[in-house]
Amino acid sequence: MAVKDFYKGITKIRKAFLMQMFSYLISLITLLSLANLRLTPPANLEDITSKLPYIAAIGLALLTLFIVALISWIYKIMGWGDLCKSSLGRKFYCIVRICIIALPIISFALAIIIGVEATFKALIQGTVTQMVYPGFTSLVNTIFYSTFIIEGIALLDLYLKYGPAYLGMGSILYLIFTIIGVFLQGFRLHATLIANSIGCISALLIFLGLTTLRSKVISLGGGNHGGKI
Amino acid sequence: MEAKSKGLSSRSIALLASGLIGAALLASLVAPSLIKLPPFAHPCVAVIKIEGVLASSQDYTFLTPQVGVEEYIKLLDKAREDPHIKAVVLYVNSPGGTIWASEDLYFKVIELCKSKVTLAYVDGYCTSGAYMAILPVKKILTSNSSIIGSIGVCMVLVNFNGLLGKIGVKVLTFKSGRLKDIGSPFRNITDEDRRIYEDLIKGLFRVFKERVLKYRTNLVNKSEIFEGRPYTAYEARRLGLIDGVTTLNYAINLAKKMAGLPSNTPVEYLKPARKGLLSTILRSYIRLTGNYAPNIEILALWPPPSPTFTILELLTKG
Repeated sequence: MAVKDFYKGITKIRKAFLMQMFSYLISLITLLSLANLRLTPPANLEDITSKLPYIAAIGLALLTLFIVALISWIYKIMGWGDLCKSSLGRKFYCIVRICIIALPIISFALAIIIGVEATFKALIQGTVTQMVYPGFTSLVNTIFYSTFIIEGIALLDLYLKYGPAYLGMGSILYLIFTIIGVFLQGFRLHATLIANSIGCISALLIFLGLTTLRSKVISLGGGNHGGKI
Repeated sequence: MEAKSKGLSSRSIALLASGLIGAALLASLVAPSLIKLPPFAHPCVAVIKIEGVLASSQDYTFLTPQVGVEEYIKLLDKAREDPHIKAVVLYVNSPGGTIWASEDLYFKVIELCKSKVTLAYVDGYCTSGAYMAILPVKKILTSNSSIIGSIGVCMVLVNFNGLLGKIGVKVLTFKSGRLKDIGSPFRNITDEDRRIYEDLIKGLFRVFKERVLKYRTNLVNKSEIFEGRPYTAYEARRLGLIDGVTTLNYAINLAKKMAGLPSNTPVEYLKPARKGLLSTILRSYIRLTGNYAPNIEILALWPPPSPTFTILELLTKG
């Protein structure tokens, strides 16, 4: 049963990272499209109408991005939960699962508060020229990025225990991507594109590493439900 | 399944996690202040709205500025320093203000004009100090119903001496020199005081006039213009005070054209940051209790401030 849960967990996390890789790709395409859109306030009706198909496509991409990210998140919760249950796992994986559930929810709840404040400011002023509560925004960002850090450490731990090289490279790159992502938030488009590209590569490496690890588990009979060591 | 090693120890995990999260928090706090990239990725035209009375928000003035002139100065600096802003349109609706604030803005506009194509579009008032401030721009354009001109400076003196005498209040002033309390609302103005004030006003007006003559070279009927009267947009154009009567869109498109930008160049509105509630309350408190003296304000403003405000501010001086 231990290997079965381990196998199930690795499979789900693997799927989650595949989804995450797609979400980075969608995000890259959407960002590039947004950069080309050049809609600046006050956008007139004629301007918006002429770019309506473009705006609709971007809207659809954003919706897809949201769905893909949501599926990836659910897979991660389930995957780390399975690893937590498995005797091959460790208590830390249970903490990872809790962090993956709680931290994004907390940060999104706080982000909504900032968003509402920014909307009110935008309605009053017509535009928002300055970041709303910069210190608070930094805290929200850190809470959100902490999820990636904890997850990255857990993946690094998996690599150190079981050794797929891709997983090691992927997890280190994932941690680097996280810190760079936080640091580059002051930049605009170009930096976000770089951060997303690194994220995409790290997700691909983790996916490949987990595939190797899964193959090892299969060879030991973990894929056959009920397999034992 | 055999593990290659035991993996990370709990201590290593805790250290690694706290170190990285700490680094992330630090990066998150430090990054925005370290990285100052221009806010616009593409070349653009900036529109800066200059509205209301021009006065420093630190001044204890009875002109009650909505936005201190230093906020506009910051925006002009921002537009000047941002390499992606290729042209600037100053959108003006201001009656002017204190001579000092108007002059500060005037010098900033000169700096801006040296590095960026700068135009002014007036929608409403652009009189007195506001007109002085925008003189260095390449073209001054206005809407149909704008009011332009009122070139000159003035000073409002309120005297309570008669009133205080009637109610039996005596004000004693100790001074080192005869003219030290010139402009005091508690003594009658003398001929000498009057002459000194007239000299001050004339001196400041001379500077204003020289600036107008420097930038508006084809003025018609100069003697009337410098009498300080305001004009409608069409009269102002006829007299050479402005370059055209048009719309904001036309002004923006002209700025693009003059800067050699394509017609689809984006437009970015730069606005001063709105003060928070606490700041507004505190500023109101300071204004009500501050040691200001309306009798020393020299104004480049039209229409002049309401006498009610002037007297109220003097009474609240305490």
